[in-house]
Amino acid sequence: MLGSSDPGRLRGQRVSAAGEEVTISMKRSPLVINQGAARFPMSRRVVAFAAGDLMFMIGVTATAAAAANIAHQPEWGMAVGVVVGMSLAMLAQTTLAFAVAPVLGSIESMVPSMVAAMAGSTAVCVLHVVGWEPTSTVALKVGAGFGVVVFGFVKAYGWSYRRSLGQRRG
Amino acid sequence: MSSIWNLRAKLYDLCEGSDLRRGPYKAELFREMSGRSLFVAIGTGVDIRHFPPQVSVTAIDLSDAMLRQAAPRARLYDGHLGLLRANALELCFADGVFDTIVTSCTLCSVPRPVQALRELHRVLRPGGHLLMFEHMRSRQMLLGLALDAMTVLTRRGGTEMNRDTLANAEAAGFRITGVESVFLDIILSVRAVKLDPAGSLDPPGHVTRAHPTGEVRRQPR
Repeated sequence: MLGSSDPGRLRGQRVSAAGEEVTISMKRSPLVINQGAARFPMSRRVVAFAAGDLMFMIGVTATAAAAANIAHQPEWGMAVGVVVGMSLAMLAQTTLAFAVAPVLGSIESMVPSMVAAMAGSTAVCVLHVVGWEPTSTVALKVGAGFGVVVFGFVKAYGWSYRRSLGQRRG
Repeated sequence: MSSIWNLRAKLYDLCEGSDLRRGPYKAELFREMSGRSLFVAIGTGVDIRHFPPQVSVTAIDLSDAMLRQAAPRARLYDGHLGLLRANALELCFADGVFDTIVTSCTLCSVPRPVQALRELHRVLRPGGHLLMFEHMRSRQMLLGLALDAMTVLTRRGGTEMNRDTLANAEAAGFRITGVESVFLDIILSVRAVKLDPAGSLDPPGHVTRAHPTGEVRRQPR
Protein backbone atom coordinates (compact mmCIF):
# COMPACT_ATOMS: atom_id res chain seq x y z
CA MET A 1 0.00 0.00 0.00
CA LEU A 2 1.02 3.54 -0.42
CA GLY A 3 0.43 4.06 3.27
CA SER A 4 1.23 7.47 4.66
CA SER A 5 2.00 8.88 1.27
CA ASP A 6 -1.31 7.79 -0.15
CA PRO A 7 -2.21 10.62 -2.50
CA GLY A 8 -5.78 11.07 -1.48
CA ARG A 9 -8.88 9.00 -1.51
CA LEU A 10 -9.07 6.45 -4.27
CA ARG A 11 -12.12 6.27 -6.46
CA GLY A 12 -11.28 3.15 -8.37
CA GLN A 13 -9.51 -0.15 -8.31
CA ARG A 14 -5.78 -0.29 -7.84
CA VAL A 15 -4.08 -3.05 -9.73
CA SER A 16 -0.38 -3.38 -10.27
CA ALA A 17 1.67 -5.22 -12.82
CA ALA A 18 1.61 -8.37 -10.75
CA GLY A 19 -2.05 -8.03 -9.82
CA GLU A 20 -1.31 -6.25 -6.59
CA GLU A 21 -0.19 -2.79 -5.72
CA VAL A 22 3.49 -2.20 -6.09
CA THR A 23 5.16 0.35 -3.89
CA ILE A 24 8.87 0.69 -3.59
CA SER A 25 10.68 2.76 -1.04
CA MET A 26 14.40 2.21 -1.21
CA LYS A 27 17.28 3.22 0.99
CA ARG A 28 19.98 2.53 -1.53
CA SER A 29 22.67 4.79 -2.80
CA PRO A 30 21.56 8.19 -4.09
CA LEU A 31 20.28 8.23 -7.60
CA VAL A 32 22.86 9.43 -10.07
CA ILE A 33 21.15 11.70 -12.54
CA ASN A 34 22.61 12.11 -15.96
CA GLN A 35 25.94 10.49 -15.71
CA GLY A 36 26.51 11.31 -19.35
CA ALA A 37 25.58 14.95 -18.90
CA ALA A 38 27.88 15.23 -15.92
CA ARG A 39 30.78 13.99 -18.03
CA PHE A 40 30.04 16.13 -21.05
CA PRO A 41 29.18 19.82 -20.79
CA MET A 42 26.17 20.96 -22.77
CA SER A 43 28.28 22.87 -25.28
CA ARG A 44 30.23 19.73 -26.20
CA ARG A 45 27.02 17.74 -26.40
CA VAL A 46 25.53 20.29 -28.79
CA VAL A 47 28.60 20.12 -31.05
CA ALA A 48 28.71 16.32 -30.92
CA PHE A 49 25.05 15.92 -31.78
CA ALA A 50 25.27 18.55 -34.53
CA ALA A 51 28.15 16.64 -36.09
CA GLY A 52 26.20 13.41 -35.79
CA ASP A 53 23.10 15.01 -37.30
CA LEU A 54 25.10 16.38 -40.23
CA MET A 55 26.79 13.06 -41.01
CA PHE A 56 23.48 11.24 -40.72
CA MET A 57 21.67 13.72 -42.96
CA ILE A 58 24.35 13.49 -45.64
CA GLY A 59 24.36 9.71 -45.43
CA VAL A 60 20.63 9.18 -45.43
CA THR A 61 19.88 11.68 -48.19
CA ALA A 62 22.66 10.37 -50.41
CA THR A 63 21.39 6.82 -49.86
CA ALA A 64 17.81 7.83 -50.61
CA ALA A 65 18.85 9.66 -53.77
CA ALA A 66 20.94 6.70 -54.92
CA ALA A 67 18.00 4.37 -54.29
CA ALA A 68 15.75 6.62 -56.35
CA ASN A 69 18.35 6.69 -59.10
CA ILE A 70 18.60 2.90 -59.19
CA ALA A 71 14.85 2.64 -59.64
CA HIS A 72 15.14 4.62 -62.87
CA GLN A 73 17.65 2.26 -64.45
CA PRO A 74 15.30 -0.45 -65.71
CA GLU A 75 13.27 0.45 -68.75
CA TRP A 76 9.92 0.25 -67.03
CA GLY A 77 8.65 3.73 -67.69
CA MET A 78 9.09 7.08 -66.05
CA ALA A 79 5.96 7.01 -63.89
CA VAL A 80 6.77 3.61 -62.43
CA GLY A 81 10.36 4.70 -61.94
CA VAL A 82 9.28 7.74 -59.97
CA VAL A 83 6.88 5.76 -57.76
CA VAL A 84 9.32 2.92 -57.13
CA GLY A 85 12.22 5.33 -56.68
CA MET A 86 10.41 7.45 -54.11
CA SER A 87 9.23 4.33 -52.28
CA LEU A 88 12.74 2.90 -52.15
CA ALA A 89 14.11 6.24 -51.00
CA MET A 90 11.63 6.54 -48.14
CA LEU A 91 12.21 2.91 -47.16
CA ALA A 92 15.95 3.57 -46.98
CA GLN A 93 15.38 6.77 -45.00
CA THR A 94 13.06 5.11 -42.48
CA THR A 95 15.42 2.16 -41.99
CA LEU A 96 18.45 4.37 -41.41
CA ALA A 97 16.52 6.71 -39.11
CA PHE A 98 15.42 3.79 -36.94
CA ALA A 99 19.00 2.55 -36.88
CA VAL A 100 20.42 5.80 -35.48
CA ALA A 101 17.44 6.59 -33.22
CA PRO A 102 19.04 5.17 -30.04
CA VAL A 103 21.92 7.62 -30.44
CA LEU A 104 20.55 10.67 -32.23
CA GLY A 105 16.94 10.40 -31.07
CA SER A 106 13.92 9.00 -32.85
CA ILE A 107 12.10 12.22 -33.73
CA GLU A 108 15.34 14.14 -34.06
CA SER A 109 16.52 11.79 -36.79
CA MET A 110 13.24 10.79 -38.41
CA VAL A 111 11.59 14.15 -39.08
CA PRO A 112 14.39 16.16 -40.75
CA SER A 113 15.65 13.15 -42.67
CA MET A 114 12.18 12.53 -44.06
CA VAL A 115 12.14 16.06 -45.50
CA ALA A 116 15.71 15.78 -46.80
CA ALA A 117 15.28 12.31 -48.31
CA MET A 118 12.08 13.31 -50.03
CA ALA A 119 13.70 16.44 -51.47
CA GLY A 120 16.87 14.63 -52.58
CA SER A 121 15.09 11.73 -54.22
CA THR A 122 12.56 14.06 -55.87
CA ALA A 123 15.45 16.03 -57.36
CA VAL A 124 16.93 12.84 -58.81
CA CYS A 125 13.55 11.85 -60.24
CA VAL A 126 13.16 15.32 -61.77
CA LEU A 127 16.56 14.96 -63.45
CA HIS A 128 15.36 11.72 -65.01
CA VAL A 129 12.05 13.28 -66.06
CA VAL A 130 13.79 16.15 -67.86
CA GLY A 131 16.01 13.65 -69.65
CA TRP A 132 19.29 14.23 -67.88
CA GLU A 133 20.26 10.77 -66.68
CA PRO A 134 22.42 11.25 -63.59
CA THR A 135 25.11 8.71 -62.83
CA SER A 136 25.24 7.08 -59.40
CA THR A 137 27.98 9.49 -58.37
CA VAL A 138 25.93 12.50 -59.38
CA ALA A 139 22.88 11.12 -57.57
CA LEU A 140 24.95 10.63 -54.41
CA LYS A 141 26.27 14.18 -54.66
CA VAL A 142 22.81 15.62 -55.25
CA GLY A 143 21.51 13.68 -52.25
CA ALA A 144 24.40 14.74 -50.03
CA GLY A 145 23.86 18.34 -51.08
CA PHE A 146 20.23 18.22 -50.05
CA GLY A 147 21.29 16.68 -46.76
CA VAL A 148 23.56 19.62 -46.04
CA VAL A 149 20.93 22.14 -47.09
CA VAL A 150 18.18 20.60 -44.94
CA PHE A 151 20.60 20.28 -42.01
CA GLY A 152 21.37 23.99 -42.30
CA PHE A 153 17.70 24.82 -42.58
CA VAL A 154 16.84 22.79 -39.47
CA LYS A 155 19.65 24.38 -37.48
CA ALA A 156 18.56 27.86 -38.56
CA TYR A 157 14.95 27.16 -37.68
CA GLY A 158 15.94 25.76 -34.31
CA TRP A 159 18.08 28.79 -33.57
CA SER A 160 15.25 31.10 -34.63
CA TYR A 161 12.72 29.31 -32.45
CA ARG A 162 14.99 29.22 -29.41
CA ARG A 163 15.68 32.92 -29.91
CA SER A 164 11.94 33.63 -29.90
CA LEU A 165 11.81 31.90 -26.51
CA GLY A 166 14.81 33.78 -25.18
CA GLN A 167 16.62 30.46 -24.84
CA ARG A 168 20.37 30.53 -25.24
CA ARG A 169 21.39 26.90 -25.33
CA GLY A 170 20.16 24.10 -27.50
CA MET B 1 -5.84 0.27 -25.96
CA SER B 2 -3.83 -1.36 -23.17
CA SER B 3 -3.21 -4.38 -25.41
CA ILE B 4 -1.35 -2.14 -27.88
CA TRP B 5 0.89 -0.91 -25.09
CA ASN B 6 1.43 -4.40 -23.71
CA LEU B 7 2.72 -5.27 -27.17
CA ARG B 8 4.80 -2.13 -27.47
CA ALA B 9 6.40 -2.78 -24.07
CA LYS B 10 8.63 -5.37 -25.72
CA LEU B 11 10.24 -2.79 -27.98
CA TYR B 12 9.67 0.29 -25.88
CA ASP B 13 13.23 0.70 -24.62
CA LEU B 14 14.61 0.39 -28.12
CA CYS B 15 12.16 2.86 -29.61
CA GLU B 16 12.55 5.23 -26.68
CA GLY B 17 16.30 4.92 -26.81
CA SER B 18 16.75 8.65 -27.17
CA ASP B 19 17.78 9.16 -23.59
CA LEU B 20 21.33 10.00 -24.57
CA ARG B 21 20.11 13.16 -26.25
CA ARG B 22 17.03 14.03 -24.23
CA GLY B 23 18.15 12.88 -20.80
CA PRO B 24 19.67 16.15 -19.57
CA TYR B 25 16.57 18.10 -20.57
CA LYS B 26 14.35 15.61 -18.79
CA ALA B 27 16.49 15.73 -15.68
CA GLU B 28 16.34 19.51 -15.63
CA LEU B 29 12.56 19.49 -15.95
CA PHE B 30 11.95 16.67 -13.49
CA ARG B 31 14.20 18.39 -10.96
CA GLU B 32 11.19 20.61 -10.26
CA MET B 33 9.13 17.68 -9.00
CA SER B 34 8.23 18.35 -5.40
CA GLY B 35 5.70 17.34 -2.80
CA ARG B 36 3.30 14.60 -3.81
CA SER B 37 3.94 13.96 -7.48
CA LEU B 38 2.05 12.04 -10.11
CA PHE B 39 3.93 10.68 -13.12
CA VAL B 40 1.53 9.84 -15.93
CA ALA B 41 2.46 6.90 -18.17
CA ILE B 42 5.69 5.66 -16.65
CA GLY B 43 6.18 3.14 -19.45
CA THR B 44 9.09 0.82 -18.73
CA GLY B 45 10.52 3.31 -16.27
CA VAL B 46 13.24 4.79 -18.48
CA ASP B 47 12.59 8.21 -16.96
CA ILE B 48 12.95 7.14 -13.34
CA ARG B 49 16.70 7.72 -13.40
CA HIS B 50 16.00 11.41 -13.94
CA PHE B 51 13.74 11.82 -10.90
CA PRO B 52 15.19 13.96 -8.13
CA PRO B 53 15.81 11.98 -4.95
CA GLN B 54 13.50 11.91 -1.96
CA VAL B 55 10.29 12.75 -3.76
CA SER B 56 7.04 10.90 -3.17
CA VAL B 57 5.94 9.77 -6.60
CA THR B 58 2.90 7.84 -7.76
CA ALA B 59 3.60 6.56 -11.26
CA ILE B 60 0.74 5.23 -13.35
CA ASP B 61 0.49 3.36 -16.62
CA LEU B 62 -2.26 1.69 -18.58
CA SER B 63 -0.22 -1.40 -19.38
CA ASP B 64 0.59 -4.27 -17.03
CA ALA B 65 3.55 -5.25 -19.20
CA MET B 66 5.01 -1.77 -18.95
CA LEU B 67 4.59 -1.75 -15.18
CA ARG B 68 6.27 -5.12 -14.87
CA GLN B 69 9.28 -3.78 -16.75
CA ALA B 70 9.28 -0.57 -14.73
CA ALA B 71 9.35 -2.34 -11.35
CA PRO B 72 13.10 -3.17 -11.31
CA ARG B 73 13.97 0.41 -12.23
CA ALA B 74 11.58 1.69 -9.59
CA ARG B 75 13.44 -0.30 -6.95
CA LEU B 76 16.57 1.72 -7.65
CA TYR B 77 14.87 5.01 -6.93
CA ASP B 78 16.04 6.82 -3.83
CA GLY B 79 12.66 7.94 -2.62
CA HIS B 80 9.09 6.73 -2.45
CA LEU B 81 7.77 5.44 -5.74
CA GLY B 82 4.46 3.63 -6.14
CA LEU B 83 3.48 1.98 -9.40
CA LEU B 84 -0.18 1.79 -10.22
CA ARG B 85 -2.23 0.64 -13.18
CA ALA B 86 -4.55 3.48 -14.10
CA ASN B 87 -6.08 5.23 -17.07
CA ALA B 88 -5.17 8.89 -17.54
CA LEU B 89 -8.66 9.53 -18.88
CA GLU B 90 -10.25 8.40 -15.63
CA LEU B 91 -7.90 8.84 -12.73
CA CYS B 92 -8.67 7.09 -9.47
CA PHE B 93 -7.60 9.99 -7.25
CA ALA B 94 -9.52 12.62 -5.36
CA ASP B 95 -9.51 16.24 -6.44
CA GLY B 96 -6.43 18.36 -5.82
CA VAL B 97 -4.25 15.75 -4.12
CA PHE B 98 -1.04 16.21 -6.08
CA ASP B 99 1.47 19.05 -5.88
CA THR B 100 3.19 18.23 -9.16
CA ILE B 101 2.13 16.25 -12.20
CA VAL B 102 4.65 15.10 -14.78
CA THR B 103 4.17 13.73 -18.28
CA SER B 104 6.86 12.49 -20.64
CA CYS B 105 5.87 11.75 -24.24
CA THR B 106 2.45 10.86 -22.87
CA LEU B 107 -0.06 13.19 -24.45
CA CYS B 108 0.76 11.99 -27.97
CA SER B 109 -0.63 8.62 -27.04
CA VAL B 110 -3.74 9.38 -25.00
CA PRO B 111 -6.87 8.94 -27.13
CA ARG B 112 -8.52 12.16 -25.94
CA PRO B 113 -5.75 14.50 -24.79
CA VAL B 114 -7.90 17.41 -23.61
CA GLN B 115 -9.99 15.05 -21.49
CA ALA B 116 -6.81 13.56 -20.02
CA LEU B 117 -5.44 17.01 -19.28
CA ARG B 118 -8.73 17.95 -17.59
CA GLU B 119 -8.31 14.90 -15.37
CA LEU B 120 -4.76 16.01 -14.53
CA HIS B 121 -6.12 19.48 -13.83
CA ARG B 122 -8.68 17.98 -11.47
CA VAL B 123 -6.24 15.96 -9.37
CA LEU B 124 -3.67 18.78 -9.21
CA ARG B 125 -3.99 21.18 -6.31
CA PRO B 126 -4.65 24.85 -7.09
CA GLY B 127 -1.26 26.44 -7.64
CA GLY B 128 0.25 23.05 -8.41
CA HIS B 129 2.60 22.55 -11.33
CA LEU B 130 2.32 20.52 -14.48
CA LEU B 131 5.65 19.56 -16.07
CA MET B 132 5.42 18.21 -19.59
CA PHE B 133 8.19 16.76 -21.74
CA GLU B 134 6.21 16.33 -24.93
CA HIS B 135 6.51 16.31 -28.68
CA MET B 136 4.00 18.07 -30.87
CA ARG B 137 3.38 19.35 -34.39
CA SER B 138 5.88 21.87 -35.73
CA ARG B 139 4.62 25.24 -36.89
CA GLN B 140 7.12 25.06 -39.73
CA MET B 141 5.24 23.93 -42.85
CA LEU B 142 7.61 21.22 -44.14
CA LEU B 143 8.35 19.76 -40.74
CA GLY B 144 4.66 19.90 -39.85
CA LEU B 145 3.77 18.02 -43.03
CA ALA B 146 6.43 15.42 -42.25
CA LEU B 147 4.86 14.91 -38.83
CA ASP B 148 1.40 14.66 -40.42
CA ALA B 149 2.73 11.98 -42.78
CA MET B 150 4.32 10.07 -39.91
CA THR B 151 1.05 10.21 -37.98
CA VAL B 152 -0.70 8.25 -40.74
CA LEU B 153 1.48 5.29 -39.76
CA THR B 154 2.07 5.86 -36.05
CA ARG B 155 -1.64 6.34 -35.30
CA ARG B 156 -2.10 2.59 -35.79
CA GLY B 157 0.30 2.06 -32.92
CA GLY B 158 -1.50 4.50 -30.66
CA THR B 159 0.72 7.56 -31.15
CA GLU B 160 -0.08 10.82 -32.90
CA MET B 161 2.87 12.98 -33.85
CA ASN B 162 1.00 16.14 -34.80
CA ARG B 163 -0.92 17.28 -31.76
CA ASP B 164 -0.90 20.81 -30.39
CA THR B 165 -0.32 19.90 -26.77
CA LEU B 166 0.22 23.48 -25.63
CA ALA B 167 -3.20 24.50 -26.93
CA ASN B 168 -4.69 21.36 -25.41
CA ALA B 169 -3.20 22.20 -22.00
CA GLU B 170 -4.66 25.67 -22.13
CA ALA B 171 -8.01 24.26 -23.25
CA ALA B 172 -7.95 22.05 -20.16
CA GLY B 173 -7.50 25.07 -17.89
CA PHE B 174 -3.73 25.21 -17.37
CA ARG B 175 -1.68 28.36 -17.78
CA ILE B 176 1.59 27.80 -19.61
CA THR B 177 4.39 29.50 -17.67
CA GLY B 178 7.48 28.20 -19.42
CA VAL B 179 8.44 26.67 -22.75
CA GLU B 180 11.91 25.38 -23.51
CA SER B 181 12.94 23.95 -26.85
CA VAL B 182 14.58 20.54 -26.73
CA PHE B 183 14.40 19.92 -30.48
CA LEU B 184 13.10 22.75 -32.67
CA ASP B 185 9.47 23.46 -31.79
CA ILE B 186 8.72 19.74 -31.87
CA ILE B 187 10.05 18.44 -28.54
CA LEU B 188 9.44 20.90 -25.73
CA SER B 189 9.88 21.10 -21.99
CA VAL B 190 6.72 22.81 -20.81
CA ARG B 191 5.88 24.21 -17.40
CA ALA B 192 2.28 25.00 -16.57
CA VAL B 193 0.30 25.85 -13.50
CA LYS B 194 -3.21 25.24 -12.25
CA LEU B 195 -4.40 28.65 -11.28
CA ASP B 196 -5.40 29.26 -7.74
CA PRO B 197 -8.94 30.66 -7.85
CA ALA B 198 -7.85 33.26 -5.32
CA GLY B 199 -4.74 34.14 -7.31
CA SER B 200 -4.16 36.24 -10.36
CA LEU B 201 -5.51 35.17 -13.72
CA ASP B 202 -2.15 35.20 -15.46
CA PRO B 203 0.85 34.14 -13.39
CA PRO B 204 4.21 35.76 -14.07
CA GLY B 205 5.74 34.41 -17.23
CA HIS B 206 2.44 33.38 -18.75
CA VAL B 207 3.09 32.51 -22.36
CA THR B 208 1.30 31.00 -25.27
CA ARG B 209 3.03 29.16 -28.07
CA ALA B 210 1.77 31.62 -30.62
CA HIS B 211 3.36 34.53 -28.80
CA PRO B 212 6.49 33.35 -27.02
CA THR B 213 8.40 35.94 -25.09
CA GLY B 214 11.84 36.05 -23.62
CA GLU B 215 10.62 35.87 -20.04
CA VAL B 216 9.27 32.39 -19.86
CA ARG B 217 12.02 29.95 -19.21
CA ARG B 218 11.94 29.50 -15.49
CA GLN B 219 9.47 30.56 -12.91
CA PRO B 220 10.17 30.69 -9.20
CA ARG B 221 8.41 27.88 -7.42
